[in-house]
Amino acid sequence: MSKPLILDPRTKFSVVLIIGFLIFGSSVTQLLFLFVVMGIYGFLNGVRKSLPIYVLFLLLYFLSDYLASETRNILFVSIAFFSYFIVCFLPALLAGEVLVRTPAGQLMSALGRWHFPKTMIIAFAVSLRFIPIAGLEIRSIHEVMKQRGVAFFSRTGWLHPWRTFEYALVPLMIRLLKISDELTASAVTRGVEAPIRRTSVHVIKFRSCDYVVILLVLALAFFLLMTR
Amino acid sequence: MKKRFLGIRDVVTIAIFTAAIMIIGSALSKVFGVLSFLTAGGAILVSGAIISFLTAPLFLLMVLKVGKHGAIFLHSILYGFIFLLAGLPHMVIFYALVGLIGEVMMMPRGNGYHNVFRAGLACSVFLSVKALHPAAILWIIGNYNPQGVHGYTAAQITKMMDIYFNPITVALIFVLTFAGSAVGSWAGAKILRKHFVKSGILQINE
Repeated sequence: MSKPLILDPRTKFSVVLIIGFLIFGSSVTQLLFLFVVMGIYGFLNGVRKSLPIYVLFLLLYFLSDYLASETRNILFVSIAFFSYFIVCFLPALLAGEVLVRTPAGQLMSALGRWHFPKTMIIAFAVSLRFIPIAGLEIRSIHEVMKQRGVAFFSRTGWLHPWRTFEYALVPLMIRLLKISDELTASAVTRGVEAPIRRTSVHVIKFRSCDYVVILLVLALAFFLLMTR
Repeated sequence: MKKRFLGIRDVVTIAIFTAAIMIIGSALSKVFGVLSFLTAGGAILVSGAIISFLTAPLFLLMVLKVGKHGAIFLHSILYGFIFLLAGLPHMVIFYALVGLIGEVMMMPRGNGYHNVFRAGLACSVFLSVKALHPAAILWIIGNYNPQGVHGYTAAQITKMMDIYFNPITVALIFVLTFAGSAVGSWAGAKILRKHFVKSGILQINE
């Protein structure tokens, strides 16, 4: 399988912004066109495993749209209506997934070049990196609760909801505080509070593929705006 | 001396709590999204209340632990940035405004950021306004693309928009979410007093 493209994070950020504004006001045909283009962009940037899920959402929309126009049933109309909103965001979600996959250090250096406030850069990078870990922490707490017979959908869970709420929340809160202490110590050790400009091992510069991607996205935006 | 502005520890704490709140919120939103298919959108009314009830204790702990102005605003802006990644750049403006509302709630004199009642009230107002974001999304899409759904007439779309975005629905979502987050804050304060204040992890003013 071919290697993913190496793009500057600022290019990925620009693509998210442009596509984010383009999805509004686009017709279904234009959205499909955007989806195909972003699908290729995502594929070239290493978003391969989740592509079928996006396609599945698209199929759900077409199916519910067909059933709604055939039967006029309120349930199918509702599903079609909501799935349309999901379909609206699919191109932007694909562009977003490419950006989310950028290593935190690279993203921080690139945003630093754009003179983003340091507080914002650190918070943004930490929360992006922590989202999957938070999911794991919640799952591991639930596993322990299951082993002790106090899980949400166990007998105790139904009989004593307040206790279950407490059993789930307190370990999570303590874990979050502990992780924030550990991450702070790690960040301070790496000199994040230093008043000088941060250097990085990542080479942050626009390459020819960045210019090509930006030009293509701008051309796409121009084409879609002209055909409205 | 305690720093007046957000330090690295505060920023990391806010980022971590934001991620956890977002994970819980998005997982429950998915469940309510499926339920809303089955209830023709009815689940949307209570989803904000339930999500706020469950996330209010985390929000309260974050605010009281950081205890400085700017915590709610940074949390809100982070939320906006994460929505930006999902293709909604407009939501950064919405969340900046919501964050400012939350900060204004903590403005009155006194040590508001350590006062559990003030923090709970700010949490309830903040989460209630935040719960209107699906309506904001619908409003943005509706204004940009009123006849977007393939195969439907503009009148049908207007009817659907009337169901999901009318003043009564929005007011109902706001009131229910306020109630949910107020109960969540009360429960959160109880948990914090029992487990965190007693052990010295957290200092609060009653």
